[in-house]
Amino acid sequence: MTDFGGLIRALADGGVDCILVGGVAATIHGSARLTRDVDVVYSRRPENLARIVAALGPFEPYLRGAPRGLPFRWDVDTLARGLNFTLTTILGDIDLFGEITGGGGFDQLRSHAHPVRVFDRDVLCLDLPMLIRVKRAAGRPRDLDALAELEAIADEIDR
Amino acid sequence: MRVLLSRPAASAFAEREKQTRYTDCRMSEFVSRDPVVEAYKAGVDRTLIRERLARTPAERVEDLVALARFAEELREAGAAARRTK
Repeated sequence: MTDFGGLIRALADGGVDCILVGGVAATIHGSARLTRDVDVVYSRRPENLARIVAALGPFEPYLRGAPRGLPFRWDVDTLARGLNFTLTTILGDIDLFGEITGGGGFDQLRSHAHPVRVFDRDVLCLDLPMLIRVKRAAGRPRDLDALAELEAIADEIDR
Repeated sequence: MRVLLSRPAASAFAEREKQTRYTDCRMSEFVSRDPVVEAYKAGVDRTLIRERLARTPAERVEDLVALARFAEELREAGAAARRTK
């Protein structure tokens, strides 16, 4: 089971510039759906890559689903060479997105994120309108349920 | 800034939610009204959503953690039952 609090506290305590997106963000907005991982869009600035490496390093990040023993190195060079990473750690699964479809990267999304206090930490969370937009832009059939719920939440807020 | 939250408890609601919500526009302006999504929306449990919206963001993630723990316990129980068959 993913330790949501452990992962979010690690990122916050490490001073990582990132925005909660995906299922945890949906939960924060009122979704009742169960999610299995933490999804964040992170800043690609070099100093931030170093913060991510330091923050998650103690939790042994590794490529999710990849066979053990691959020459995967958790360092700034690896992050700089890639963009989106689906990782597993001893705290559970975390997806690091350099960009997301329909939303762009951290700098584009920053104005659509608001601070929220969860797990005794202040973190940035993508706002509901942009969450709906990126979910729609992803265009995955399996997301239709989640998208319908997010739009229903928007409707309920206006009631 | 327009604040259009109009329920009786709107002011407390808006105060609680101000960190995660737009307050200068209606949320429904961002809803697509895509007929496919609208069809899926018919199956959404609105009562559950209202319950969630009455809680703080911190309480909502606590609920997520509890739900994940419960799902894990069910998974383990299922696995144990299959082993003893």
